[in-house]
Amino acid sequence: MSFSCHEGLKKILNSPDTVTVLATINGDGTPHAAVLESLRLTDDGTLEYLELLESARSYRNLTASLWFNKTVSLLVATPDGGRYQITGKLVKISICGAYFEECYIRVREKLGDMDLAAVCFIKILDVVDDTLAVRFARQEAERPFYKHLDRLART
Amino acid sequence: MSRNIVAAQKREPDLGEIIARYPDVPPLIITKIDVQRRGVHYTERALAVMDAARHQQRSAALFGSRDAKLTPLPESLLFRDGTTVLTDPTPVEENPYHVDFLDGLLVITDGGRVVEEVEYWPVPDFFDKQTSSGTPMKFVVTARPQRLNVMPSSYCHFWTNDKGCKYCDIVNYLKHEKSELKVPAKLSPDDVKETIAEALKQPGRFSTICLTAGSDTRGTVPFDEEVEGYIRLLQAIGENFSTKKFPSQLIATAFTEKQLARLYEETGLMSYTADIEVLNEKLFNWICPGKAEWVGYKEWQQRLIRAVAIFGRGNVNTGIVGGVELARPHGFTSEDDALQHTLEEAEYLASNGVSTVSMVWVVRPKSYFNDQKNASLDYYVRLARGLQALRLKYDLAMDFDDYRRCGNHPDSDLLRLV
Repeated sequence: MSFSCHEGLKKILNSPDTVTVLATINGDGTPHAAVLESLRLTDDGTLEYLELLESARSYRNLTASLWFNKTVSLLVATPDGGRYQITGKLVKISICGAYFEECYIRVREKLGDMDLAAVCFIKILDVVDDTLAVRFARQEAERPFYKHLDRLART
Repeated sequence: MSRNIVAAQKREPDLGEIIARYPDVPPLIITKIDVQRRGVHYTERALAVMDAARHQQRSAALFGSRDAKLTPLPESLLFRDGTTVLTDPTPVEENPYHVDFLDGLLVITDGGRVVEEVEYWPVPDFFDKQTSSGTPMKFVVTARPQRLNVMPSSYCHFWTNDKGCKYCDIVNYLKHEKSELKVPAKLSPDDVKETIAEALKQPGRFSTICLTAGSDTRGTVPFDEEVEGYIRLLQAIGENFSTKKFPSQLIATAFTEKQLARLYEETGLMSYTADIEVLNEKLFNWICPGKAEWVGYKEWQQRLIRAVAIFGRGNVNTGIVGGVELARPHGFTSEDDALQHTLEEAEYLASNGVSTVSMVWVVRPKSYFNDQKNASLDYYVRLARGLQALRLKYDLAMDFDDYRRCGNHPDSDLLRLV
């Protein structure tokens, strides 16, 4: 990811208007999707996700992804129609220590009587601009058979 | 440990082979088991980056370690998935993993090969404080990454007539600790209450309180004194909380229903563990003669089962010292037989609402079994899988004794996926 891309993504991810969906699978392959409430891009390019609930299915699946070396997928949606697909790998789950406690305090300052289960660090492997217009242009250029003929008819 | 034992260990399939053999078991958990099984040695480089201001050092404990020393060393390790690894400092000649500092990272190595990145446990804020009676708080309450440990007494009365558990060094270690560290042999409820209050000032640091100690046979009914002591302590601890109940675990003797009901009703205690240690009556009688004399194997099982009605399903379990069922000369001679028998008995308990958790047997130099060898890595992995499979089969939750609230049971680490 280039620096400019990093800065752009950081701005998008750190915006309160952005919606991010995390897709994971459990041990038997059942998919699960969850809207992430607390995700940010750190200065070193790692995604930091605060998992609030110990019982969350996404937390269990993230743990499984780290244990069995699987990737996770994130869909980032902005209010202006921007869509970004991120493929990442969980590299660390922090459940204690000075930084965990700092995050715990931050969560409670922001959300009141809430808990924090873990701080999850996801290394970004790939970011794809998934905005409809960009995908369509890409398909038009790369897959010329993928179209209905009427779109090409003389008018 | 003799040279023969190390040689036998080296002939067994190694970590890589076992990870390949069990693709359904997380490699990090298999690694944890092996690190606990073989112990660790800290290199000078690793010790040089230990910072007493940030890292927890070996403190007062119930049991000793393989090196039989009390020198300042890191308390234990954490893996990058948050898994706790309770490590035992082990002499180099016994073939332990090495904890080293290489290329700016703290790692464990085996034969010079980096196996995994690790961290030292963070030191709690209260560790450098004293109670108003002048006792260092770190001698009153100890800590794991997310757990507070209260160990009211390190004396076990089963040792009075020489009937302590054969793998255990609790009383011999107590003498050692008391003379070298000046750790109090018995805790005062006021000191405990004050220390817990101080610990709670650190937001996000702790998620449970665990009480455990040696058995105390004294009382009108055997163990009444032990129960009374826990009630006093739990009530003192409870004064720190706004709710009657607080996340907590008592690891103690198998008490009668009346004793258990008092513990549940008169205190904030939420879960109960009575370690049966080995799931075989004949071996229990041999390895745990004190428990056999004062309670008996079948009665121990029944007391666990009766505890479920008091504490609730999912809040009662028992611990076994994994591998001790293979101890010489009376233990199982085959790991397959030992595993089959252990899981059959664990299933009986699970079908009655009692979970079984295993610990990796650490052969301690101050115990009766000081010259024995623990089981193979393959055995411990199969044991962890088997115990977890029973919890799934009988739909048994065990939130009070999982990776965060304990961290000493490879089988309960697997609950993170459920």
